[in-house]
Amino acid sequence: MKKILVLSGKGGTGKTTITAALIDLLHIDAFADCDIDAPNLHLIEVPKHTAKKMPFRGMDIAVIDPDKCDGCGKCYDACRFDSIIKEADGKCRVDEFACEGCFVCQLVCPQNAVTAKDNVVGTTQVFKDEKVFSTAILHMGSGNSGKLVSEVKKNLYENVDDQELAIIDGSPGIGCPVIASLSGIDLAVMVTEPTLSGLSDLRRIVKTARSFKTPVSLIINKSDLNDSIANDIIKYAKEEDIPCLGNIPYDKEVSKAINKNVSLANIDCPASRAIFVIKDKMMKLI
Amino acid sequence: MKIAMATLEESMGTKLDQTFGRAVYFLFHDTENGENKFIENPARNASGGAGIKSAQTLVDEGVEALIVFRLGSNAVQVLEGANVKCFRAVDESAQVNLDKFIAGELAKLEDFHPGYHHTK
Amino acid sequence: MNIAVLSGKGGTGKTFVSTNLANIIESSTYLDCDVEEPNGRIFFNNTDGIKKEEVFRLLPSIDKEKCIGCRACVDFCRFSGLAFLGNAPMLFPEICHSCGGCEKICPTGAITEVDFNVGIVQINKYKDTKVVSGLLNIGEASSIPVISRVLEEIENTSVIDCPPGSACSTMESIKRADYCVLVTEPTVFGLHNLKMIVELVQLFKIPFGFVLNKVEDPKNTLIEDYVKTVNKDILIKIPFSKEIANKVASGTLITDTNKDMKDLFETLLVKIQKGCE
Repeated sequence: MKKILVLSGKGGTGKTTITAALIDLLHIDAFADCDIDAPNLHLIEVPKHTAKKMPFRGMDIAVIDPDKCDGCGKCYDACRFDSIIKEADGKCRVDEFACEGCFVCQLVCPQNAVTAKDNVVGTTQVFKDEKVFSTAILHMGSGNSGKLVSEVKKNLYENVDDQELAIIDGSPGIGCPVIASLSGIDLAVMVTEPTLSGLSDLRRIVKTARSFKTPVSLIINKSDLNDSIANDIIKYAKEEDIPCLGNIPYDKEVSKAINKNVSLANIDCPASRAIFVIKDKMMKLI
Repeated sequence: MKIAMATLEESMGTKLDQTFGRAVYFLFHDTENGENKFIENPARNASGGAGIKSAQTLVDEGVEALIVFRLGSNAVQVLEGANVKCFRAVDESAQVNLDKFIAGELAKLEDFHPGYHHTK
Repeated sequence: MNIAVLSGKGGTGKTFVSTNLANIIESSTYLDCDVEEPNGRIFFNNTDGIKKEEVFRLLPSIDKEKCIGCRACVDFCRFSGLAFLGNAPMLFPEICHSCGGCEKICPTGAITEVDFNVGIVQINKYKDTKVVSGLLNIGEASSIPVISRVLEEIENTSVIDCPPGSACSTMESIKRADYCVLVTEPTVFGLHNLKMIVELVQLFKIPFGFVLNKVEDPKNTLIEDYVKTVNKDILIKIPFSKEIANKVASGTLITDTNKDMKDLFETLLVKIQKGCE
């Protein structure tokens, strides 16, 4: 099964909208939403029935027994992650959101007051009928995004039958969740916009993807918002040997459709026509 | 010498696991006495560094050769540091892979992928 | 006063709002905590007198002479950052979380800690705004050390441009905020992700208000309807305009060139100040 990952570097360039359109135009029936911090794919690819939900455990975190704690503060001094809170009564407590799970506090505690506890940091969801849709939500403040992204992909792969193509909606940025989503990907599709921010972020995400030897390709969305920068992007792509799949013009109809939970594949407008051409170019690369 | 493989089940007829760091089981075959031992991979549910942990398990077991489909660069660093030779698995049972290895028919594993922290 | 600007969904206009807000405030500080993809510096593009400083985290360094091979460090590490090979531990820098545990547990003092570069902080001046940008090195998984360093430059009235989402990097960015501006757009995506960061700022008990950006259709009341349910106000509404988008695309500070926009942002500032009282 070939795997496509849609990334952008900069947020808001149109990853989810374009991923949904590609899913419908190409009749892809294996897909995942790896933007676990702010998942949106389910708002367009609305599942018809309920999902198999599973709690997702992150790393164990530390917990301090207040009966054993004598307020010496050694844990507070040793913690590198600002995760120990000194209470009014002098005793120490672990901030569950900030705890990194290193257990240095346990190492230095003279009273053996620190133990480990389970930490549910999110929920995975798998919808399966003729299609397989794997997604998840990460509870706020959590730092386990990489592990959850891997779990979402694993759930997708474990539930597919003989699908030949899977597409994954990625997250913005270049950090943990993006790095985790890149493993095993056959083609990364970068969605950018003609702004200086978009181009700057594109450079960084391309570098990130290539450091993992992932082939990359490019779509310029809202391409007519600034022709000069759109041309700069095309020039950059040529210099870096990145195949351009196409340009999509800014189109008011897009947000109208999205707000009705309708995929671009199901309406006729300049943007959807552009994606129609793009999908063929993309399939040639794969 | 001890030979290791990543397997899906605890039997010689099982297929090999496509991953290493998060493999379900490890098989150790001792060529001196022909014994086969299976263990559950302790790194399977590690949140990160699974490749490193799995490689450490093999090194501690005294493995000299590993038959596997793919390896991340972190696991390779550990294995190479301990002189474990890596060979490319074939999509057959553990027994077939073992027989082919002994007959000298398995190729060396040359290309590795970069570490993916928190993934493999 | 420290004003954090966040959004949940990417691309709604955090940087647009925070750069222009910082621009109209006298002697302000602008802090870009979106260290994975920092863009504020594109708008405050005066590089005269720019200062750059490396940001470090600590990595263990092992003295093989002193190591007795007890493996206490390897066994302690929760992240598998150390493996034991032959006669000494081997470090995996990208895996190491810099917790300092191995250095503490080593019985012979064979482990010391050394600096490892994870990114940079750069500081420049644009008119009377101090501009602080953090930039995370490619391949580094955690933004936290760079964000913490950026926030050390808080001074006078500070506008903090946060990363998208509501994960640990966003939480770190709002720790010192007195007020949070939540920027959204009138789409189902915007609304869905907005609810998550509302939860976040409510958890932190920070006063907040909304800015609705890219408004095109007056009949679309998606966000207005939601805002009523949390008993808050939309501080300002910014209309979508292709001309403005075009200017912003090329790095223009719109409050420098467009009087209506300047007035709109002045209104925003007044409302934020009221919200802090």
